[in-house]
Amino acid sequence: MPTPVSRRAALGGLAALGAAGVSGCTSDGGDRSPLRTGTPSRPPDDPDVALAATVLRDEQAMLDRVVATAHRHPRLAGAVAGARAAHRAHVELLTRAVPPDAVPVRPSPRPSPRPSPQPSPQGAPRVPDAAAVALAALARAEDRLAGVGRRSALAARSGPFARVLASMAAAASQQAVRIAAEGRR
Amino acid sequence: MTPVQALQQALAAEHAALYVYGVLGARVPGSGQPALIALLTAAYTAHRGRRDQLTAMVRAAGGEPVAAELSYRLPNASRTAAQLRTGAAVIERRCAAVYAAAVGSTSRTDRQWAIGALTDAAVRELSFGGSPTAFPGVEEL
Repeated sequence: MPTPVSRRAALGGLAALGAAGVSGCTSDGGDRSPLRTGTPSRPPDDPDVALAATVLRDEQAMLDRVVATAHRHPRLAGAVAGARAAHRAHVELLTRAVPPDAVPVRPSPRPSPRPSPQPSPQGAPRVPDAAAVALAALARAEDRLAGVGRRSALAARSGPFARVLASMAAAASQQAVRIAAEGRR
Repeated sequence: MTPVQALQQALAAEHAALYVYGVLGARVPGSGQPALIALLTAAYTAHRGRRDQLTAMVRAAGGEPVAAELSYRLPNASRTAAQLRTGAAVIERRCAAVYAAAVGSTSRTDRQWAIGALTDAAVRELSFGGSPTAFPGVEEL
């Protein structure tokens, strides 16, 4: 139940995306604030805040999975280093944008029948015993995250936010390809 | 940027990409690089499809599609096989950037299409030796 304070914090949080340089087409000197793009005025119960909280949860879960994989299979640490760096960057950006008490959207804008990855507070994700299997599972998880991210980018109200979400989804696709290639080496 | 401007910018980038890929493909040294030829051919085909699609999208949005320039500057010397790969990776990075911008300036089906094109460019860049990044197409991050 968002309070006026948390709403302000939320809007300020998403505005931080703009402060971090997350803005759309500015070559024409347009407004850099994501709050002013697409919709003339942003309603107080901004669905993008809940969307950002959801993406943050999923990115954190992916980061936890990558870290757990490297911990369980130390020889894979190099193979997953890029994924670790990418998802850490995503989590850091979204953490700046999302207020601590924002509630993730679920499941309405994302009709995914699959259960979400285990949230980090409930312990480390399970990692397969065989390194090759663990790597393949990680590649599949990246692929799923990319698909979810593309749907989130489509759903975002703010154009600049959609741009960043689509970029994060593309990053997950890159990692899926790269990790799968590592598995074939 | 209006949706039409974003699509026009992407179309202009695809005109450039097609020109450059045409040159790169013709410059593959000898016949000892079948993998590189296959990659460049696949890239050319994909970009030609996007150019045609964007042309239709601009028209559907009420715009007059921008025409191609007569020629474009190559991204690098593009002589050795390594340079050809690097040049192709540069083209994909440029396309990723315009598609990311298009995602931010469009909605619904046009945005959905741009999201897919961004991912395709980001992944294709890897096939030419590019490295994954945290925010493909968003250079300021």
